[in-house]
Amino acid sequence: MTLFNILRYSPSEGESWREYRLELKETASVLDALHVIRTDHDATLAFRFSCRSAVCGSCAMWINGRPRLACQTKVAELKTAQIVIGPLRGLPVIKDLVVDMKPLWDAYRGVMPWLVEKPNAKDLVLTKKTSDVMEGFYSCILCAACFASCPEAAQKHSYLGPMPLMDAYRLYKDPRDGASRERKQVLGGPEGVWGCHGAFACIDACPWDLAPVEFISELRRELVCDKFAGR
Amino acid sequence: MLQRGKARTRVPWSVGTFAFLANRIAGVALALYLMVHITVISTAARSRPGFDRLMSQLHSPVWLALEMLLLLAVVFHGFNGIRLILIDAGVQPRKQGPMFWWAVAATAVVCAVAAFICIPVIVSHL
Repeated sequence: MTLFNILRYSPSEGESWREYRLELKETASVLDALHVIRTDHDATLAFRFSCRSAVCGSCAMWINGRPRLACQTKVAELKTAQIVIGPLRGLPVIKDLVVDMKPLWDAYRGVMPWLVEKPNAKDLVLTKKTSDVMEGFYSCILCAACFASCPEAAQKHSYLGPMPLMDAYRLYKDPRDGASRERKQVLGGPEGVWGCHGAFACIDACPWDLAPVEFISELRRELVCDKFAGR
Repeated sequence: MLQRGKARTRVPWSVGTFAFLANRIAGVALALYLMVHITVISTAARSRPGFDRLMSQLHSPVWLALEMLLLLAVVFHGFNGIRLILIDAGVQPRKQGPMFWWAVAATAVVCAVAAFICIPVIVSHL
């Protein structure tokens, strides 16, 4: 028997903790448990999910003190008789475990996550080496776990945060991109890479084992080198 | 428009968060010390008797003990600074946790050696 403590929220009733005791199979994930609660105990429990295989990033939530994907987290692997679940931190709650991702999307939009093609972009060859450098970001599922675990992003809303900066790195390194000047202005500002104060919480939070801070450090080095080189 | 619940902004303590906070506290303490130090020394240096009087006061056990704290702040800030420089240089960001504990261990060793030298001096002034 596992005890689930869930932080519920509704605009009319505010916040409250609810307890649910469940008998689950050994292979059950936290997402399975949430489905059991919604089916057998309380049909009003709200949570997001889609792929059930750690690819869509929809079911990221606060589980036992850190952000995790509910579908990827096995109840048995948590090795506790009580599991505490809440919405992701740093993001406004819409209902129960569903958060408003707008602050993240606003930050993401801030780094221009699209390719601004150079006039001769079609003639440029994307080498294997460059492609490998940019590859890290392609594993990111935009689940917001890094954003929710970052104390800087949670406290200072102007800071772009780990995931948007990681994506910015991909475009900054893309030889086909023609907006490096605009990107430098955004990334080199206080809301950009210099806003990271090195809590490194994003490394532990990422369900895909990415380390956004590696990309942030790399961007810092690139920006400093560009400055000295007068680029 | 839907009413939103307030975002919870407290995130759990991680080694990195603790390291950041400790580094910031040590840094602010050192900056304050530097300002006080420059002010006191520049004021006392106006006359030789005044300077000698200040120096004899600063050799009291309380001030010597505070100097140990100063050393702790300097050494920790220095070693943690090396850790941050290494991470910014791309050296093993994923090992930032162990690197912090190495910085703490190095600080402890330096402070232990300093205490071994300074404590007899402090005791002799009692």
